[in-house]
Formats: sequence, C-alpha cells, structure tokens
Amino acid sequence: MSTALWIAARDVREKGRLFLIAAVLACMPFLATLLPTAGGNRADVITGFGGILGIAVGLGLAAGLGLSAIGADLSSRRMTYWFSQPITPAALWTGKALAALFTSFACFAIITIPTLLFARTAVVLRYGENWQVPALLIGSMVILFLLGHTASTIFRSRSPILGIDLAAVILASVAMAMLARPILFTPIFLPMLFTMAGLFVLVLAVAPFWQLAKGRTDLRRNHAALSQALWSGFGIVIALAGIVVLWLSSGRPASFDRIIELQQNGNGSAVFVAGSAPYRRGLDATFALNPATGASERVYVPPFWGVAFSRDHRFAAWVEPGLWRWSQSEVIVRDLAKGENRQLGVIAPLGTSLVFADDGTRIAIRNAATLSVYDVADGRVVASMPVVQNASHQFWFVTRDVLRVATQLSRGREEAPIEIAELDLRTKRRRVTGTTAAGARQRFLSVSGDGSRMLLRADTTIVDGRTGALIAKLPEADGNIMTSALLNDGRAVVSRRAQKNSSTLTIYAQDGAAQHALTLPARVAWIIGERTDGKLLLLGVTWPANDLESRGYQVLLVDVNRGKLERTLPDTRGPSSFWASNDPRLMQYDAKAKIASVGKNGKLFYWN
Amino acid sequence: MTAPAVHAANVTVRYGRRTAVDNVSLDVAPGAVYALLGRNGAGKSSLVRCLLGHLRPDRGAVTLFGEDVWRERTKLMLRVGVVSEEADAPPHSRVRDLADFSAKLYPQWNQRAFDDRLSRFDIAPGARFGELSKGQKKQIALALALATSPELLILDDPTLGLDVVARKSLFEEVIADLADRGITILITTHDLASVESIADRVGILKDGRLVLDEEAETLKARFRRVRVAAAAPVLAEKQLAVASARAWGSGTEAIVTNYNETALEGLRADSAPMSLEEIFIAVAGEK
Repeated sequence: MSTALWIAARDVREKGRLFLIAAVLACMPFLATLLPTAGGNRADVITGFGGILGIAVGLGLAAGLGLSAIGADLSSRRMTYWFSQPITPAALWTGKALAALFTSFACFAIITIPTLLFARTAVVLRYGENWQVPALLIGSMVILFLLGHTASTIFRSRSPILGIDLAAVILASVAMAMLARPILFTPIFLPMLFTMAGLFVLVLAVAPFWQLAKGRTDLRRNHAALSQALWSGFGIVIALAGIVVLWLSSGRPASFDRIIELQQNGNGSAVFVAGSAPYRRGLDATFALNPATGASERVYVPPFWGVAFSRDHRFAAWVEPGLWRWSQSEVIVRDLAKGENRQLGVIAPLGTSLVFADDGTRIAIRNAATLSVYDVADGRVVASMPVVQNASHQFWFVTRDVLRVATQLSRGREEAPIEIAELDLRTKRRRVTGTTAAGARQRFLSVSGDGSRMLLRADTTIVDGRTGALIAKLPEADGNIMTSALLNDGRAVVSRRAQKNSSTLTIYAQDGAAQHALTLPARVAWIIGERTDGKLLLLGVTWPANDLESRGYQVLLVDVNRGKLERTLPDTRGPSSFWASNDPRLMQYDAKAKIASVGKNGKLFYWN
Repeated sequence: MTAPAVHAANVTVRYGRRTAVDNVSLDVAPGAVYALLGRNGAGKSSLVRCLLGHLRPDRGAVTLFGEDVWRERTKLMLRVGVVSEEADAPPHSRVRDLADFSAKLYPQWNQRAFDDRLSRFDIAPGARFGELSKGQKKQIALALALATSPELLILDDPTLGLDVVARKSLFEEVIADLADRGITILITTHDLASVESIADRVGILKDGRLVLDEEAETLKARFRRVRVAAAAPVLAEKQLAVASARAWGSGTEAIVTNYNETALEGLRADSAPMSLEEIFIAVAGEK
C-alpha cells in the first residue's frame, strides 16, 4: 500500500498546477458579482456560478484524468518506466487512481468551499443540506474516471479487439433488456438496477488490476486484458442477475402467498393476479390465470395499472410498458378463450384509459388530446375525436356504434358543468347531446348498464346519461359517503361511514327514493360489482387491516332486492375492478361465476 | 552451481501473425557483458521486454537469477537496473523527484552515487525530465539505474539517437562502473564499435531468430577476411566455410567463419581479423 501512496503522492505533486488553476477559478464567482450584468442577489450569483464551476471542473477533471492516467503512458510508451521498478501492477493502478480522484475532489473543493464559507445559507437553499448532493458528485467523479480510463485504453489501442468490445456491448445491452423485462415496474427493479450498477462500477474499478498485471507495457495486450476482465466481470454480474431474476420470476400464482392485485372478468373465466411467491418479495408479477384449467401466463401489466375487460367476457386489454422506452408502451389485447395476447398496434403511455364496446369488437382509447375507437380485430381506427387534455373524461359505449363521452373541465371552480357528447362511429361525427351542472371534480361518475343514467357521485344526483337532465337528487346525502354506484337497472347504492367499524348501505329506486338501508360490519365498504342475480359484491375493510393476510378485510354479498346482507366472507379480499377499469359502469358478474378472492393465508381461492 | 543471471528458454513472441521473436534461447552468466545485436525489427526490444517481465512470451520462459521474471518481476526489479530504448520517466517530474521516488522503492539506493553522476553529467536536479535533451535523458536513466546498485543492468539500445560525445560518455560511464563492480550487463545496441571492447559474449538476432550466440573472443577468432590468389572453390577444398566471397584482382576475397591458422598453408593467401561490426554485417546484413 505504501508504494501506491508514494505513486499517488508523486502524481499529485506533479499536478500541482491544477490546484493553482482551481484556486484562481475559485475567485471567479466572487469577481462575477462585480459585473454590471450580474444583477440579482450577490449570494445567489456566488452559489450559482461557484456550484456550476466546481461541478464542471470536478467532473471534467475526473474524466480527463481517467483518459490520461494510464492510457497516455501506454500510448506514449512510458509504462516501461513503471514496470522497470519494483512496483506491482496493483500498486500502480491504486496509486494512479487515488491521485486522479484526489486531484478531482480537491479541485472541486478548492472552488466550492469558499462559496460555502461566504454564502452558506444560499448554498443550503439552492442545493439542500443533505449528503446526497456531494455523494452523488463524488460517485459521478469516480464513475467518470473509471469510464475515462476504460475508453482511453480501448480506443487508444486501435486493436481489432474493439470489434469484440462492440459486440459485447450489444450483447450485454440485449441481456440487460431481457433481464429488465420480467422485473420492470416491480419493487425489485430499482434495487436490482442499483445493485447491478454498483457491481458494474466495481468491475470497472477492479478490471485495471488485471489489465496491468497481464498487459503491462503493451497497449494492445492491456486492451485485451482489460476487455477480458471487463466482459468476464460484466458477464458474471449479468449471469448472477439472470439467476436472481429467473428465480424471482419462477414464482407462479399457485405458490403466491402475497397477492397485491386481483381482477376478474364477468363470467369468472379469467383472473389477473399480481403478487409474489414465498422468498420472492419484490417481484410482484402479474399473471393471466385460467381458473378452469389452472394454466397461468406471465403478462406485463404493471400492478395497479389494471386490465379492462369486455362485457361479453371475451377480451381483456392493458397497456404494456415498452421494453426499450417505457413511454412507448403498447396496448395489448388478450383473447381470453384462446389465451393469446397480441399488440393492437397502438402506442400509448401507461395510464391510458381503455374501454371496450359491450360486444368486444371495439375499444376506445384516450391518449392525451385524442379519443379514438379502434377495431379490436385488426387495430384499425374507426373514428377519433379531440378531447381537452387537462379535463376529466369518462366514456362508455351506448351501442357498438355510439361512444358517449362525459367531460368536466375542472379549473378549481366550485361549479364545473359536465358536457355530454356522442361520437357516432358510422358518421364519425361528434355531437354534444347535453350538459349538466355539477360540483367540481366529479371524476368518478357511475353509469347505468344501458348508459341512460349517470350518477354524479360527489353531488349524489342522478341525471340523464344523454342530455344531463336531472332525474333525481338522492335524499339524506351527507359528507360521509365512501362509495356509490348505479346498478345495471338504474337503481343507486350509496355506502356511508357510520361508526368506528360500521357503515351504512342505502339502496335507492330509479326515482331516487330510498328503498333499503342496512348496516354493514365494516368501516368502509367498497362496491366491487353486481351479480346478474341482483346481488351486490362489496369489499369491507375494518381497522386495523393487513393486506398480506387479508386480515380486517371481508367480502360482503348484499341482496339489493331484499336489502339484506346475505353473506360475509371474513378475512377475504375480492377482485378489485374499481381500481383499474375506466368503464364507468359497474362490473357485472354472472350469478354462477366463481369469484376469485384472497384468503387469510394470502392464497387465492374461488367461491360462489 | 550458480544460476545464470539471465536465462531465456525457447522464447517466442508474436504480434498477430507476425513472429517477432522465434524460439530464442540464451544464457548470460553472472558478471558477463552480453551484447545482443540485430538490425532494426530483428526482435531485440521484444526480447528485452520479455527479459524484463514487461511482455509475456507466447511460448517459452525467462528467468533472472533463477526466478521466473513474469511472476516475480516486482521482486526481481530490486536487483535489476534498466535503461530503456526511449528514456521514459514521467515528463513533468523533476530530476530530484525521480531520485526521491526511486529512493523510496530501493532499499539499497545510493544517493551519493546519483548526485555524483548528476554533477558529472552537468544536469540540474530541478530540471524537468521532459525538458532535457535526449542524451541527458539517457544519462539520467543511467544514473537512476546505477544508483540502485543493480546486480544486472539491462541497456536497450542506450545510444540510440545520441551524438558521438554523448555515446562516448555513456559507454565510459558503463565501463567505469564495470571497473568498480562486477555486475552483469545485457546490452542491445547498434553502436558495435563501442560495445566491442566490453562485450564478453555476443548474440545476433536476425528475423527474430538467434542466429549467433558466442563468446566474443571465439567469434573474432573464427571470423576472418581471407584473400587468396585462387578461385573461391579452393577455400572449400581447405574445409573453410565461406560466408561471402567476391573477386579480388585475379584471386578471391572471402569471409570465412571457421578460420584456423593451418587452413591457408600451401596457398598464396593472407588473412585479416574482423571487427564486430564486420562480423555483424556478414551474419545479419543480408536477407
């Protein structure tokens, strides 16, 4: 180690001029305040200029010294000097690296410390007081130095090995992309990314030991040895990550003991479940599951972004993050009977709203300022209409040829009318059919099964789904409303919080008159869906609740015709279609469908 | 039995498809001066780099003082002084800093010897290495190498690019130091006249192969320029190996490589000894 320190000390002494230059540059921010054009707050000028100058010099020096520390000696054949002395390659690399990094850090400090001393308050205001900024800068300097050294060795040699390096870069990139795919948008992704990045930096730091031990004074042999070490190291890191990812993603829904998201189509033939198997925390993968056969397939639906189902139970659709560019996500349509996925050919960001026509032949997709209807079979655009980008939109198919769109411009006002328009897919024309007064932020409207009625949830008023004309104002509306919905036949249900761990569910007739009111044994009761036999599915939550064990959750089955709580499944979570569906109509489940739920042990089970 | 100071066994170095050193074996005895000669591109520098553990041979091995130089280079360099072809110390370093650095690395560092040589070379200790002339750089390299009190001195073309005075000065330094101590020297050079008087053994590399490796005295004894008043075949009849021959008046002038005193008996002939340079040209000069 002492030899390394001697080399470092020698190199630092040799670079004495750089410290002088840094000292001169340190005066610049202060001199800048004398310029008539500087203006503004003097401390701001000092911190802004000093910070930028210090960062630029520190990073630039780190990269520059990386380029020259060993590479310049190799290409100008000065390595003979070092290797003719009793100096180990390890000491040489350590010494050179220490000197370069010390010089970069010191020059950065020389420029920025006076700024800090004279304008500390402004520095804290501008850059914060936490350790992350200097740590990030120091880390960046180390990485730039190592990358500089690597690039310098590789490009100076002008060796044909460069071709192999290029091929290795491409291979590594492809391997990384393939590794990223199964874990993208899962909690393990960032820890994996940072761990791999850390290991790559470690490889970059360690490879030059091998490079100098094997290549010594010969530039091309240095390049060969460095490439050998780098790609072996990167290969090991990628292989290890691959093993981890393979192992993580080997979990299947049958072995899941932690389910974080569950969705099911209306006839119960398809379940989308996101969760993780034992010891695989961090990889919350989503699977399309066929309850009849038990077959499962990994699908790349980020948990909580959800799946849209067609009401004929044939299709599901979601937005799948792009492999290369996350913003370039693809709309995927799954044929639930065949279990086949295909790209619709529509690029859309995550969070795009998707709504199927009832017969599953068309799908409406809102992407930024355009609402388009596509043919599900061939991805062809049937019709489009512009929409206001910063507005709240909900849309649903009235028939397969008519898409209805409710738009509320909410600009922070108390009142924000909702405009109702129809897009006729035959004439491809948009026509405003009505407006209705509404309180701001009605965001989640609820619409009856045939689209003829609309419940303004915040106002608890029912309006005509086409014209917006008031039909009824629900009585006894108060501020404790937790959730509300229009049933398929146009009746309304409202869940209100009553006491600490109980809530009230009120069922209203089509004319708005209260029909039944019953107490539910849950602090909050979310409406999940409606069965074709007139039963309402709710998810009750009682504090304290535990997601993993479903403790505190219960699935409640209410007979809306009789106004009775018919069944309670304690410690159970049901399918949560309300999260993801953009269709404002309540999810319809067949009376005979087996409902997927998560039990106390975190396992999936079915009931009817 | 004492191990040779330098031992190379079947050393081969390739750069891609080109073979720079082809199956070379040689020994340098402790205390000997070995002159390794060869034309430009003959493979001298590649061989020297192998001898110093700077380059790993593609085949074969090198030992210094009986130890593998590739594996034990760091330890062995404590016993080896090197003056490389291009004087290559860091250009921004001052001469005194170079000495200070070497003093830390070598326990046997002789500061006085270094200072003495520096004053003899008339080089200021504060001078930056990169600002010195080529000759001064070589002098500094030599002073640094000798101040480590090496047991083996490897000089790779130390006079390359130097003027006559600098060349003379450099060899005098070597010779003077040799007079003081019996250190082993391996030298590659184009300056054959200078090395002639100090070399104990001579090796000649040609196209990467060691075509000659012999004691200097024996070499000079067997190589002779012969003039004979007869046609060339008469030399073959006398069992003399002719390296080259040409017409000389009505007779022949030839270089024979196995000369002995009795070979020319009965012929009208005379012989003349050859310088190392002439021998080198005879051996390595032709393609």
